[in-house]
Amino acid sequence: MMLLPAVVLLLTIVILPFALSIYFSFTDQRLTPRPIPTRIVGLTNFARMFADPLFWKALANTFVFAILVTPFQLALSLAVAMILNAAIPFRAFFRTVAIIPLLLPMTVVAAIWAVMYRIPNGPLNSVVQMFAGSSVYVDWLGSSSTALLSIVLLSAWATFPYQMLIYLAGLQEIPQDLYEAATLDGAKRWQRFRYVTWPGLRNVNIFQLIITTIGALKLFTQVDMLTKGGPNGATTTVIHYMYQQGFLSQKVGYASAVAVFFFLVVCTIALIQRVVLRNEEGA
Amino acid sequence: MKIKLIAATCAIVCAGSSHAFADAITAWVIDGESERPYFEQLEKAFNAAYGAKGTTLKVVPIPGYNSAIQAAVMSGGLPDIIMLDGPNMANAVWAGTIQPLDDLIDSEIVDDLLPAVKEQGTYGPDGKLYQISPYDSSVLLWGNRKLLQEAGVDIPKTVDQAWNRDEFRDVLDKLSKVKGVQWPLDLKLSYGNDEWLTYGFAPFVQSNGGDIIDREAWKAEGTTNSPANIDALTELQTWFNKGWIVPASGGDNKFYGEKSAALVWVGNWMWAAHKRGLGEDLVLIPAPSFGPKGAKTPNGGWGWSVPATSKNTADIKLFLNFAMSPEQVAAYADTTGYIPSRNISVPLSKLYGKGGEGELFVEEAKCCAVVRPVYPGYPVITTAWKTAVLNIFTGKTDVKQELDTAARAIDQDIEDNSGYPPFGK
Amino acid sequence: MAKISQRTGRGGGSLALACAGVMTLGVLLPLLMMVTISLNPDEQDIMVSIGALRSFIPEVVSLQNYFEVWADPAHPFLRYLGNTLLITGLTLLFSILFNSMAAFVLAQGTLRIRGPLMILILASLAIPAESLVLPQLIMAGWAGIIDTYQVQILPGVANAMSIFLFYQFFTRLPKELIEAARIDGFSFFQIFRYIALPLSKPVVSAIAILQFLEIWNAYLWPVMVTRGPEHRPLSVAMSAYFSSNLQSWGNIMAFAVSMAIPAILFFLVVQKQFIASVTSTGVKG
Repeated sequence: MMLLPAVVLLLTIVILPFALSIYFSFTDQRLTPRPIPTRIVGLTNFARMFADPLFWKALANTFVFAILVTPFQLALSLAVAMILNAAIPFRAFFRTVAIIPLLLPMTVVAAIWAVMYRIPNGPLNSVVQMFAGSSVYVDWLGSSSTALLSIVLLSAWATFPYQMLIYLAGLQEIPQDLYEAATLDGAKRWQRFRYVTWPGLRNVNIFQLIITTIGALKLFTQVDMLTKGGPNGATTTVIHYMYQQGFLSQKVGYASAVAVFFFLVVCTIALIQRVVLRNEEGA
Repeated sequence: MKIKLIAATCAIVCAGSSHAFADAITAWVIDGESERPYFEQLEKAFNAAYGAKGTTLKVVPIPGYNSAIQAAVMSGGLPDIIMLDGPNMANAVWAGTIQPLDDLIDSEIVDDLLPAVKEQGTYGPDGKLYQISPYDSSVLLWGNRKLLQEAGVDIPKTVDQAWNRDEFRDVLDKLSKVKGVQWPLDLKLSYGNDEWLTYGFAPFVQSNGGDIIDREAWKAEGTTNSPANIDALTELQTWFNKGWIVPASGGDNKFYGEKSAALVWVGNWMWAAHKRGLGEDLVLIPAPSFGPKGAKTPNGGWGWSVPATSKNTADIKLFLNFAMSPEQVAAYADTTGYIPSRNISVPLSKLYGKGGEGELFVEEAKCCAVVRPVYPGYPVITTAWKTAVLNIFTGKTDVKQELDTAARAIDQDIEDNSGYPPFGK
Repeated sequence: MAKISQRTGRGGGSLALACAGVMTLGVLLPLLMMVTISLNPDEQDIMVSIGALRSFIPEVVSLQNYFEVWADPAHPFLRYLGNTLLITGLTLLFSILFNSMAAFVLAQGTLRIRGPLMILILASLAIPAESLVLPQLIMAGWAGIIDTYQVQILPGVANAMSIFLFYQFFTRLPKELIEAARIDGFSFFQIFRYIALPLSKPVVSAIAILQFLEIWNAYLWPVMVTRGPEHRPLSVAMSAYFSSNLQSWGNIMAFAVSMAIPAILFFLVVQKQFIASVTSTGVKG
């Protein structure tokens, strides 16, 4: 009896839809009814998906985003965590400041950065103009070469505090006497980081790497709000592509194929990361 | 404890939804700043006329309209009356979502409609009317007189004098050299991935002898990617690459706000903003003649439709006849800046009557309007076309390749829907 | 549960302080700009000054934009706020209630189907929510609950992560404690209600805060299932407001500030638990 609500909910809201999405991926299911019957179409959806250049672009963008944002965001959050772990004045204030971006919903962050990226005279372009002359501007979100990078920057800004907090906790788990011993041995700042801090954060790093990568693969909100996947597909992601095909164009069958594929990708990456990291640990 | 919680949730949730009374009708309308005052007026006027006789009207503006309709279709919650964008009507008929209006509206109103408006609302296979719009729309070039004079260009006044492509190019070239003009032309790429990219850009290819789909065979290959289309869009892309056209991320107000754009190709809905921004400097210029077919302009817009599920036909009939009365049609136009859809209302309108500032719009609507295809596959046609146009400008991609992709996507969708029977038979 | 203490790490000094200053600027400058623009009633002036120094330091202080935002009948801010609070509150309530009960049975009960159930839960954990939205939407259509509160609450309640966190906690409860209660005549449910649940407060607050962040940021699902202001949450409203008022930056920023303030206030109140819950999920992995 105590088990029932949770189990029923999991079955109907997670497991059943999962089964349905596998089934739909083999049909030409539409979102709203139409006067011709829904058919089983075999592997057609998957074949079309693999033949669509935009799908590959979405997949590539998603990976590029993850590959760019993960190290950038982790380095940023580790750096901030180390600063905030040091004995500096006003540390409580700095810690509170550093957490603020995490509290802003992504849609608010996107709105703020829409102003930052404005052309021709937004704040970031003012900086550009200081160096390059007043008639020059970068169309941050509007040109294929900078759009994805702009999304990377704002995403890292928005979510780095999460990883920062985890690093901060990790740093404090490292026994203080290790540092003292290292200092006695004459270790410099960099050596203390290299031989004490970094190995001490091993488990934290593994966890951070996995959650940041998986989070990055789900990129959607800021893209939908700022670029709608454009320009020319430069910021389309797998989730945005699925949303576009399944919700806006109502092709649920086709989009389900994308969803199933996405699920496999996420699982594969999580597995690879786990296996690689575990082997390394053993070695 | 659990049951109490559930009951409490239900109480909260159920309180949110209101149930209509038998003699109250509900209409969902689009939520736009320029339309809002009109709909408030409509509700008041209707209730003043019929409230005492037992029929009341509730007008509900819905932001994010299309997905709201989609959600309501899915869970069966459509109101008595909805608004539909003209070109999406055919798809709704095909899917069985809406019912014919022929018995729900007086025939003299239908006979009085501007021909293009009637064409927009009529579904080919059964020849019945499914959507009736109180307004028509059109697009022309709006100019900043001061900047145009500084560039030393002649401003055409009537459609016969419209710039041809070479003249247009020459004007832009001259404007690009005027101080203060950052972009000679705004094509409203800032609207983003919006219906505008089909509505506003189809005239360029149609003027050049092309179209967005073959309207006889309902086939995209050979038409969507025809040489005429490629030629027209390549020209525009060249202009864009020269920095003559405001980029998508440039925002809405380069013409009327910052005045860094000298010309803008946009519809009559911008009246108020343009008038406020430019005042006496505002000048209306006929649509350019981009190719051998002469000037072409888009038309159409949102109108009233009745869901197939609506049963309250007597009251709906009252409503439709009221909303399409000469006064209401004129009021819609004067409030929103759109063109009245009934001949009888044109003289009543301040903007579009004889000698009114908007006369050029009416002239264009008569000579040059091309209705968007009334075909159930339109949603996919426009999505494919929009994507192509957007990519051509923002991604600087190869025009032919983009149009080939669009043609393939359209034809594939038609095939996936078995040719949208009874079309294609 | 790891706590971030006030314990001092090493390497303090002027370099670290300078870095902290740079970080503060990086975080605060965009926020200062948001506030400054929101206080400026003159859209034209905002446009002109948008990249200049004075878009970071308020010259004029006017609440006009705020009044416009709060009074806009087409975008009822207070309604959105109420929707978000209601959805958050009910999601947390049911999620904590149902999932802790289930976790307790799994951890302490003598259930024969425990094995398959654990597989079910672990499998649910592995499925990214994003890949389920389309079939969930179709199902919501079948159930006729599109554009309601229920449809936004249910996916948050069916939360394997929440079961898992409770499960981890309950398996570590001392056996003697449970035994003693049983001898005192407590029923299984009473043991849960009066002993296990009160003990699990740290887990409850961790789940509450993580789910709060999740709902606060929810976008894809509410975009698909809400169609108007009636049931729409703030995060989606922000986006809708952003696209329908593309040129009134003053109003958009006022909307953003109005939305940021409740979150920051909430944070200041629960700062300690907040940091603890983020880090607790982290270190354990």
